[in-house]
Amino acid sequence: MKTPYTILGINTDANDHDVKQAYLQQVKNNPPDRDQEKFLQIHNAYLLIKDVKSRVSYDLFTLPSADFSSIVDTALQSEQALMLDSDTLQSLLGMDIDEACLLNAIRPKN
Amino acid sequence: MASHKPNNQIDHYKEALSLAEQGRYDEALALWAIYKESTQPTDEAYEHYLVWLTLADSADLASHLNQLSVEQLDKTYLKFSTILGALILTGYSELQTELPPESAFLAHLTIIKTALQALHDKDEALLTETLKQLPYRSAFKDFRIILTAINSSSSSVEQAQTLLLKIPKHSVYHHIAQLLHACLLEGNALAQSLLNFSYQQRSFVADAKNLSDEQRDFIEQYCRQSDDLNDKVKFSIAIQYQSLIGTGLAQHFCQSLLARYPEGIQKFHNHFDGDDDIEENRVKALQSEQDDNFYEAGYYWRSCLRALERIEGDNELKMALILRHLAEQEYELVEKIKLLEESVEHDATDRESYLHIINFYAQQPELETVYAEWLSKTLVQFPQDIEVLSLALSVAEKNKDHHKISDYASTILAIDPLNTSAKQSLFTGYLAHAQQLIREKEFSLAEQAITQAETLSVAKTYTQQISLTRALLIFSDGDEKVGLQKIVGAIQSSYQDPVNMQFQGAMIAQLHDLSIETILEALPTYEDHLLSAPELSQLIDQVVQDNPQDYVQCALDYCKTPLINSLPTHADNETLLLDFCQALDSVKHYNCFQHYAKFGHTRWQTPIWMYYQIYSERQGVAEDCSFLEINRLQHAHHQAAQEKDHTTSLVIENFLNDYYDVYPQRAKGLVEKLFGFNKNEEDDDSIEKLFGHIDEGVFIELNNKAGLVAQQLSPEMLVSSLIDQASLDEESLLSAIMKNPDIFSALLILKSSEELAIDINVYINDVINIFGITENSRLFPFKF
Repeated sequence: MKTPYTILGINTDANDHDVKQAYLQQVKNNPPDRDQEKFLQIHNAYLLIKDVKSRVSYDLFTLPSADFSSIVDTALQSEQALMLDSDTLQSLLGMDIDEACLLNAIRPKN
Repeated sequence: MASHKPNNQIDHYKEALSLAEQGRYDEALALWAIYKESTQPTDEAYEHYLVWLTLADSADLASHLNQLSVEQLDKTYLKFSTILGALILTGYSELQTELPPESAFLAHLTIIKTALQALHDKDEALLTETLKQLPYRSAFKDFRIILTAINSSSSSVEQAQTLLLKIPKHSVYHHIAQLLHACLLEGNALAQSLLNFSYQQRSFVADAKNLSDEQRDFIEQYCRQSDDLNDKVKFSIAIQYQSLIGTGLAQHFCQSLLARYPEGIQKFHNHFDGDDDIEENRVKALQSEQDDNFYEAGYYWRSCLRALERIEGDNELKMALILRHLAEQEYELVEKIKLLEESVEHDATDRESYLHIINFYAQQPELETVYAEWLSKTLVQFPQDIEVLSLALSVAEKNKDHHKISDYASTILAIDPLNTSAKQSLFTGYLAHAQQLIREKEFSLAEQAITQAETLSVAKTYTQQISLTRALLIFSDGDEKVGLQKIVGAIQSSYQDPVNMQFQGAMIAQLHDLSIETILEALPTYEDHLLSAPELSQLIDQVVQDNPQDYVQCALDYCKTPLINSLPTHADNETLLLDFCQALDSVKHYNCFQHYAKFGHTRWQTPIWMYYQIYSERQGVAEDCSFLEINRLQHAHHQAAQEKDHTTSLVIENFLNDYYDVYPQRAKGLVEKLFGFNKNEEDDDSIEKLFGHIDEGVFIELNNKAGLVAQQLSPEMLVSSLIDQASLDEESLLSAIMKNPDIFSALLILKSSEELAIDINVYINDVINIFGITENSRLFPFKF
């Protein structure tokens, strides 16, 4: 489960300045004309924790999630979304090609 | 191609396919050789054979590739050429030397290599341009999608993901696409994706994403336990990876999980601070709220508050927020306000809480002082808040505190120069202050206040008020003759008709301790003037202004004659007459009210006019109503309710309730009257004599019907409907009813039996005889 903190990529002890900077960075990476839904998610996350009162309120009245996906989400969060490049492809092409994959490719589609 | 094949030859081919599926390519190739000896293989079979040669790393592959025509490579064996393309791209580049140089396959391979170089050089434009040269039907069709996805991932990860998902499952590039897609995922989606991969593939993704050792370890642990990810395992993983996910999240997760995994409590206390009362109570409170158990939630929030009070540190905001949260859930308004009052003691910055509090007290006239205190506190906190200032201004106006009116209105205008309401208040405040100063003989200060009012640019109508106030100043300051002329002039310029002029003249005289007669004599007389509808509306506006009630009553007394004479003029304007009755009621001028109500009732005979007539005749005192009047009002109340005229229904109901508050026994049903609380034992006896023989069940039925009849028929109508069989006249019966309500009850039972066709063997003359009604019972010298 994503929290406003994970959406903005900040720690729970972030201050007003940190929250605003993270928000601006996220908006820069995900402008509304590219993905309206993602932008709204970021914007709503910002509104939830934008100042100390809203952060204390969020922290007080949000039931800690017993949903394990929140743990996995936090554990496997990268600093920055990965951009694929030539090196990624090269190392992928350098891997042994799967035999089953080759056999599968000549099987009739049905 | 053979059109007919012996069964054993097909079996050899099928057997070869089966062996290849098991990775036994050499054996598959041997069976293929037998199969081929006796038949011409199909294109599909030959395509398989070529793949098996490749997978077996057979030396024969080169010679077979060498024999492939351009047609076969580019069209007939397109599946194989797709595989061949993938093999060449993944490191088997030597294979291309065996292929026909003029084939499209090699031309497309050259395009792909150029694209790969452009990707390496990060030349996005060249890459895009190069890929456009590749035709749709190509062995590298899916690889082009991969290159396009990689190219677009720098601008849109989502677009890259969408492209990668387009590569079909049977494609030789499907696994590559899946791995690239996984590289673009985060968090839970990434973990789910990795469950489908081998260790080597997971390592590739971890490398590509530059994941830390701890994250890699987490992934492996997660993948190992994924088949049995129960609460115990989740609990342990959260504790084990605290440094990765943060102690706060780990603690919150485990605390929440304890509700369904209580066995973890010891482990929880071993790893986290076990004395955190606040967190424990907070979680319990939120869980209770989730179960809609707000009583229990309130208990835990209160425990939280006590714990916050005990510990050191700045917890004021938390306490205030909890109290506001409790207030939001409280349905008792008084309790809600108490909680908000407590909350602002901890955090005085919450405007909404203050507004809730002052708006609550504003609605409680008996708590005027408390309202003033909270308004003052709110103003201290929010001195520039227009909403708060406007409320304070209203209170100052009500108290006629001219200094405060001036302060608040000026502050509002400094913030919002276009606030007309504040400007009007300021103007009215200056003039009211000037008039007060005139009464106090402080003439120079009064002049200053008038000048201040003049400096405000308000609507033209307000300049007439300035003229009037200045005229009053002149009059009071010694020059009565000129002053009177100017007062009269100001009044005449404000109104067109003599009635409104006289009314205002009388009001001004009273408000400024002047002689009413002197002012009124100087104004035009009304003589036979009949008020038009707009003029009556103007008068209504004057009457309902916030002025002392006795002054208004006195001013109305001076205008009574033209007001009564004007009544027929408005015979078709019920709304206007109702408005005027309402205004007369607000100042309790019952004399005029009675004339208007009687006229209205004669004209319209609706419930509201019935009510107004009785109400004005009884001067608003319900307990003075007669039994007949109460019965009429009950009838009117019922009619208003039936006509869905809820306002009328409500005002009549309130008036009736006032009556029943004084005479509670008269509000009881007939059964109680008959068998219960009658004061007069003789009447009890009479009722008993008349109806005592009736079965109780039948009597209850008659009584229920009687209730309905009472709502439908007035006493006059009831008597009239029964009089044919009576030995007395209507007036005598009605006057008897006026003296003894039980006679009315008895007649209602009779009427009910008639309507229900129940023979109770009681007649109207029995009622007359038992109650001893005679012609002498008549009370009034007139007919109803």
